[in-house]
Amino acid sequence: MEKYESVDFYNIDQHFTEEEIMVRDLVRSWVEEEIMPHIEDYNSKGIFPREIISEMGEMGLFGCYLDEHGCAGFSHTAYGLICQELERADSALRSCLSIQGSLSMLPISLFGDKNQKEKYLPKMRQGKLVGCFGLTEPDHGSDPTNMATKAIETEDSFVLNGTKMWITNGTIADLAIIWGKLEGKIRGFIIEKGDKGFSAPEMKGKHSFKASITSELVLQDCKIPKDRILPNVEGMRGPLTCLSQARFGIVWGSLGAAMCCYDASVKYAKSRIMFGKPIGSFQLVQNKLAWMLREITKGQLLAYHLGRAKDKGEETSEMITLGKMNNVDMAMQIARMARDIHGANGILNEYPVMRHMANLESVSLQGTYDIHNLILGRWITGIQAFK
Amino acid sequence: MNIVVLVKMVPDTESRLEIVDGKVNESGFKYMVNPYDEFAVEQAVQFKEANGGKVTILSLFSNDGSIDTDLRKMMAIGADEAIVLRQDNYRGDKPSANATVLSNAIKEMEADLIIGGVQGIDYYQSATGPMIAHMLGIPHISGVTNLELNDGKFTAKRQVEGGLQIIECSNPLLVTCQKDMTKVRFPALKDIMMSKRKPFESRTVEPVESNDVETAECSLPPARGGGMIIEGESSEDKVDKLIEKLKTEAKVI
Repeated sequence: MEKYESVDFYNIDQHFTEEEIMVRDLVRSWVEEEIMPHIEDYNSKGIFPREIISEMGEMGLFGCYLDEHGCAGFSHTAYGLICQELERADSALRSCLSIQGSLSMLPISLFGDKNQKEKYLPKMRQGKLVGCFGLTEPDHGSDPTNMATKAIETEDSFVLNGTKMWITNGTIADLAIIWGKLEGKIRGFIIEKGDKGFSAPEMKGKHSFKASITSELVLQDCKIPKDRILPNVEGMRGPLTCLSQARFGIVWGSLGAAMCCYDASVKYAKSRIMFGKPIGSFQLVQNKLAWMLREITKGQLLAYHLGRAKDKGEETSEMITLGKMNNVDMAMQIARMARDIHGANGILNEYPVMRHMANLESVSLQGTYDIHNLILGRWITGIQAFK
Repeated sequence: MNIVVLVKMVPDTESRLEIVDGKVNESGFKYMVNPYDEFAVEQAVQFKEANGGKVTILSLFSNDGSIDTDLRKMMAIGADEAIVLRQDNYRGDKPSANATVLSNAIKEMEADLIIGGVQGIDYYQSATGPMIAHMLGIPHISGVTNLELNDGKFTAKRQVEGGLQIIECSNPLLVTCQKDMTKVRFPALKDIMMSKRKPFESRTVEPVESNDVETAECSLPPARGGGMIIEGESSEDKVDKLIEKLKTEAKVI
């Protein structure tokens, strides 16, 4: 198989630091050697081997932008580049990084107390403990504020009841960050595997994100000690801060998926002979490739500037919203276009395009295209349209 | 244990190869660490981790700074420092000249072990390593598939036709590594950060005279001719025609 070629039409590489380039290249070569030869197999079997998490932990990818408990303290831009390289292989990998780092370690780091940080963060960084994040519920997706999960405080414990859905890594997780209402206010709780009344059955039958483990989290009179509440946050700010960070990763991850589809399309267009010449000779195919290059380049500039804004602490959640909406949308269109260029071959697992195409349908959730538009609409007009 | 690792920067395998007037056009080349040399870096770092000591990357190249990041990756794997000898008009196909410059630098380094890849994937000459050993007056073992160090003594294994050769040697010595001698690790992000703080020295060196052979002319393999589909009434008929063509046209049977 020909070597993967990423896109850098506008020489954006010149703006990355040497460490950022080294990190990106490290993850790219790891993906190339350890993941690409097996990813179609994982996808068709619907598995995500636990060793992948260990290897990612050994490299120090989890929570790499945090600066405590042994985390590397890298830039957000470096984190973005890691997401890009992981998602170039499969969205399942980027999702695993997001869930462990941004949705499990980050809330403990930002909102947890000293004991919680010491207990969980070092092992999570190393991939020895796997975390997951429970916000979405079967009846509350885009409106998490109306969640039904409730916690009651007793003398020596909290008792939780509720169901969470679409939880990446839930079934294999050692701990779950659960958002639920305590006396009407949204609070974060740490549930550990083995807590009585807690179960995490895997959701089966997905046509997308097949190499990722997706689960339900069920809490039935789940009783946990009092020191498992995240003490330093109340309300939607908690989960939204984490989601914003995860969406930032998707801004970059979707670029990786798009670049993989573009790369496959260019190679296919140059080698597939039809009517006696490569299909890349035809204007309609060239038009598609040019559009892909254009959109990827725009998406890269957007991701780069967003990354640097985040490195300076100058980003807003609306900026992330725009980036996530744009880059996922362009990646979805590029994946579909790539399938088209590949003709019937595009549906085969010999090529990565249909896998990415299907995955991106899931990536487009976690803040849908429409919801992101409404967030921007609110920012523009000052009027909230989704209440 | 003081280990010097010879690292050659070679054209990236994705670089476009173009011949102009019988010469390779190198203007658009990107460079990468010679893959065989990566095995040497990993092996050196493993020795250091087990026995202590220092691992120095030594590379001879032009003044092109685009290679620095790739060399720094070798320090992320665990090498302690890098010395790059910068030479005007450096060429990768002059093993004698390059061995002279490299061995002069090594003389001052008090190396116990000098280790590199068995060959560069640019010109595949397999010459620089043994030449350096000769110039330093130390033994060398080339194309090693496994290298162990016990009580200051090296045991090297080499694949030879139909068998395995085992060589024992004390230091100083020079070893060149065969493919897959050891699995090169993926460094951790922390190591990448640390690599920025490790010494990275560029030294200017003068070109030297040598009796290296000169390349007269380069050419690309001839383009493949078009295929041919043999028509025929039946399979037998087609096979007959194929045999005829193999005899009379291809002249291979």
